[in-house]
Amino acid sequence: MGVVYDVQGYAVHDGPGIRTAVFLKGCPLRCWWCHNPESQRPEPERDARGDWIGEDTDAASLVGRVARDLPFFTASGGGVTFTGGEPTAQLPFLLEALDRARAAGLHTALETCGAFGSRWLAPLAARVDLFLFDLKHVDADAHRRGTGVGNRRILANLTWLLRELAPGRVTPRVPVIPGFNADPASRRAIAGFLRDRGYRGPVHLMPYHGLARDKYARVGRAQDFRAAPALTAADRLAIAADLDGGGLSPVWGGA
Amino acid sequence: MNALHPDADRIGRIRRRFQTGPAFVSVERARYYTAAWRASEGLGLAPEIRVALAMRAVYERMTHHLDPDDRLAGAWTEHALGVPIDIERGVFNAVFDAELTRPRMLKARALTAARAAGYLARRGGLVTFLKNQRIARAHGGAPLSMALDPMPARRVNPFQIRPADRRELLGELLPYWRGRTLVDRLDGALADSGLRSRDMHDFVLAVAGGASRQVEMVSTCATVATLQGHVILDHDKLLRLGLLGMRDEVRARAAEAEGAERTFLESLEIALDGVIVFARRLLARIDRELAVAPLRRRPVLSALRDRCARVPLHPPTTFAEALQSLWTVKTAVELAHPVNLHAFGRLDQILGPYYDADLAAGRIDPEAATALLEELLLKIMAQNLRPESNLLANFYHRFLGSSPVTVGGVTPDGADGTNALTYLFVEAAARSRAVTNLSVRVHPGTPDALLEAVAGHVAAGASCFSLYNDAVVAEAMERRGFAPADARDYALMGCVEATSPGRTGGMSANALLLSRLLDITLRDGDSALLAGTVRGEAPPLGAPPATFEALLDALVARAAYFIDKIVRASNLRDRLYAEHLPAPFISAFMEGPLERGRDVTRGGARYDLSGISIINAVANLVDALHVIRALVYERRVCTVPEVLAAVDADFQGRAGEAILAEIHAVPGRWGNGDPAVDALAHDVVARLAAEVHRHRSFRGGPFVVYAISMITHTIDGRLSVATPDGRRAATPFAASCNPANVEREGVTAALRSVAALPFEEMLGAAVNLKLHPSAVGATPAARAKWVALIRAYFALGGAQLQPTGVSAETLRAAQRDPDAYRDLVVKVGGYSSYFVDLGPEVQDEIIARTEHGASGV
Repeated sequence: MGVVYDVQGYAVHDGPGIRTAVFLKGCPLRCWWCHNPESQRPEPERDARGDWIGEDTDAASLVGRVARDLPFFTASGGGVTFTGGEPTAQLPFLLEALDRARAAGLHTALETCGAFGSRWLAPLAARVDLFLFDLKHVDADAHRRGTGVGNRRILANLTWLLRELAPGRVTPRVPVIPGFNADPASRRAIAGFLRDRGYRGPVHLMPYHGLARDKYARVGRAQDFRAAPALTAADRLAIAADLDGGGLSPVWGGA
Repeated sequence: MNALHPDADRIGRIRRRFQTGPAFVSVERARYYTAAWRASEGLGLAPEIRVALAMRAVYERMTHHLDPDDRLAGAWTEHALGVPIDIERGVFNAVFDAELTRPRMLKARALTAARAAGYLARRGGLVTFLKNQRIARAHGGAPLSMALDPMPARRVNPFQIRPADRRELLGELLPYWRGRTLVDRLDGALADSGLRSRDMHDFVLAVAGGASRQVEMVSTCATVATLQGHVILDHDKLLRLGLLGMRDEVRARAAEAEGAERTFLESLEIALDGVIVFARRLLARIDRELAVAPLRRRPVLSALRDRCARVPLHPPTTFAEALQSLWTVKTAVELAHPVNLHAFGRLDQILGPYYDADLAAGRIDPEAATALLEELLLKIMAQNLRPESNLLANFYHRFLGSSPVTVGGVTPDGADGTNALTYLFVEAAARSRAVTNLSVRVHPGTPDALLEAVAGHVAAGASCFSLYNDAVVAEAMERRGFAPADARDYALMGCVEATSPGRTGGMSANALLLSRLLDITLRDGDSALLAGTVRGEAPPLGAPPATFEALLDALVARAAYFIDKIVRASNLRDRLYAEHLPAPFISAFMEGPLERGRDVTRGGARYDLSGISIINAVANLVDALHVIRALVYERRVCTVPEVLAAVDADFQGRAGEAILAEIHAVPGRWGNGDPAVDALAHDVVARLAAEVHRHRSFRGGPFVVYAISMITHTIDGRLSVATPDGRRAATPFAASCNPANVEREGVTAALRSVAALPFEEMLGAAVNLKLHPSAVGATPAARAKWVALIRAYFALGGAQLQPTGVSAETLRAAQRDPDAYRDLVVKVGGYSSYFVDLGPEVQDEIIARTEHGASGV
């Protein structure tokens, strides 16, 4: 059994084609800008109105429900994307769901923060068609300040995946957060990290938005919400320029 | 929008005139038709001859309107925007009689109120009536507008009339026709037929006021429409032979025929004569204009003159001539059969060869052709307005965007028919901002580029497009007896109804109201309305169904009972048409009547269709059955009488609220892709369809099934008690084939549910899909995913989809500031309309529809 807090069809920004996004609850990181604060705690919880967030779900019925959209996946080259929260926070459940998804003929994508033990790399690589891998910061201290945890394991996992998997199976995603990693030095370091490991391809840039205030209030954590300045069009241009070239091509908002 | 193309200003002026210029009631048709009809009285002439002569007299004397912005000449009244009166059918006669002036309006309303009060007093239903009025107001529904603004002064859909015309209409024309119109005959025949229950008979007499007679009630759950039309003419033949060639053909046949057949063929000859007169007088009108026009207008006018000098009398030689030929004949025939109801068919297929030849010869460029198509779409729209009653004003609008143009799809031999004109029509539909439906046929070989073009326009707010699935529609046509090639050649008419163009008669539209059907089933024959309960609508069966299956069987048995009534009433109406008002002007342009020597109203066309639309609504019925199955038969939480008591209380009071809470807690409403509920929806609709398919009309054609509600889901909802799916009293039903705004699982799940319906058993269904613009086409990648969404939905068996790509924010903004959103087009039932033209209740219903977005960050 796993804890799933949302299943959304016609997800068009989380991998190729038309996808169903499955949101798993629980995350080892505590990013101060988090857009989905209701996803952070591992267990089901009640929101301010008393409604449940998260539900114990078995992998078979979850995948059975997702697979009803197979005709839409087939027509568009889509499939299922596991996201969260951090899906690898529920690893046995995630692996079973991935197995069942593949058995049902679904293309599988995993959106991950990368903070999981290296022994899971090979099992995941055997079951995930596409990794959407968050690369938040290359600098360990900055990463710890922004997310509450260090990035050694994350960078090692990304390095392994980039080395071991065929091109096209890993797409880096960078949440662009003013006050965290939107400065020239940080973003150039990210670009350099990717180029140094031979990555060539799209880099998804996920722009910060300040729309999560209500979500924090919903889970009774209004005090935890921290607003950052919004990105201007000029910011976006400059940021994209730093992540362009040398084999990298920036894509705002994912695809 | 392309503000740079040279015709943009001209098209903008035409659109503005139609949107905001005055609309006039024209009495010319009524005047000349009546005079000629009276002149032929007592001469022993056959009715088809009298009809043809009367219309020819109209063509001989009517005034032709010509506009400086015309590149297609021909209007059906003397006004830039006008509506003629079909006085001999009489669909709107009662409206004119009652609503043109304030004193007449007061008198009519007082009579209506007195009649209704008398009925209620006799029935002792006043207490219920007043209670229900309170319930209705509690839901914010404005009562049926008793507004006393006469037609020229009302806010929604006003019409002007010249004082002398008004005096003539009220003083001479309408009095002559009282008791003689087809509608009056139908009123009498239905009253005498015994088809209505005794209580229903009283009820109809009580409620029949100043409203139009577009629809007649047979039962609280069964109606027949009074219209005459819903056909597509044989345009290929017109272009091949020209009117003169067609008349020669008729003459040759008539010379060999005798008796009734000869009479009929003579009526065709007179009809063709009439249309020829119409065309010649249009040419003369242009000539007069040319004689006095300033020099700068002459090039345009003489080009127009040259075109009208050739067509429609002779076959066209260019694209512009072909278009003019079709337009002249459409206008003339539409004038013979107002209002709306015949469509152009597959114009890209018909006109493609002319366009290609012109393009190759350098006679035309895509911009010029697109501008002509924009003008065409706007002018189709301008012949699609109805002088409806004030009683429905809250629900109405100026233009109905029905009368669709069909493009794309496979050819009769199965190849992809998409051509250059298909794309130009898509572009013209978006640019013109006409509400006319552009029906785009889709098959696996349809180029992605065409669908992506549609996606781009939908995302930009154009909501005039409908998409059709060739595989399913052609299969449905074949099941109803169309030959494969004729089925593949289908085109849309009315709003969304499929027909084989140029060879299919069909003048019958009827409806089965599904929530009432369930209500009657649950109440063992009685029917509850907000105006009171009509008793004994169906014979009582006694014991309530012991199982859910028995309830379904009872529902289907009740449906069979009412379908039989509808069929009999439909045949009654169609026999009246055949006997009193045959249609030589349609018969002349249809494959079959000439060969068989029989009018289209008497089964002369090669194919013939009669239809029953299942409305108000599949979604409410399926959800109600699903809820009853769960609460009454599976969990035994309550009984049917307890559900009905809650329904009667509009779910108020402790018991009502408790049952409503139980209803809301039942998971899996139709529209969420739940396989069990989708299967229930499929089975219920398939069983209803099978009951319809048992019948054939007296013309020998099949009865077929449609699911298209126009705006009745709002109007009928307004008059209806609550329903067991949890819908409150006086609120709208689901539109056409849509889920009841209960979709929580996203657009793919909603489309899976819809696609599970047996569309191969229907010849027309409307499925509105309201999408946030960002979910359609913000980027090329998004558009590609939207195209895949459509293709997958069609692969699953969906037949139709009409997307609205306007956000709720935009719609609310348009409510606040109508002038800024003059061009905003939305889908209503099966047709499009300018949003700001709509009555407030219909606007609210559209805003309340589930809006699907794309999910994910």
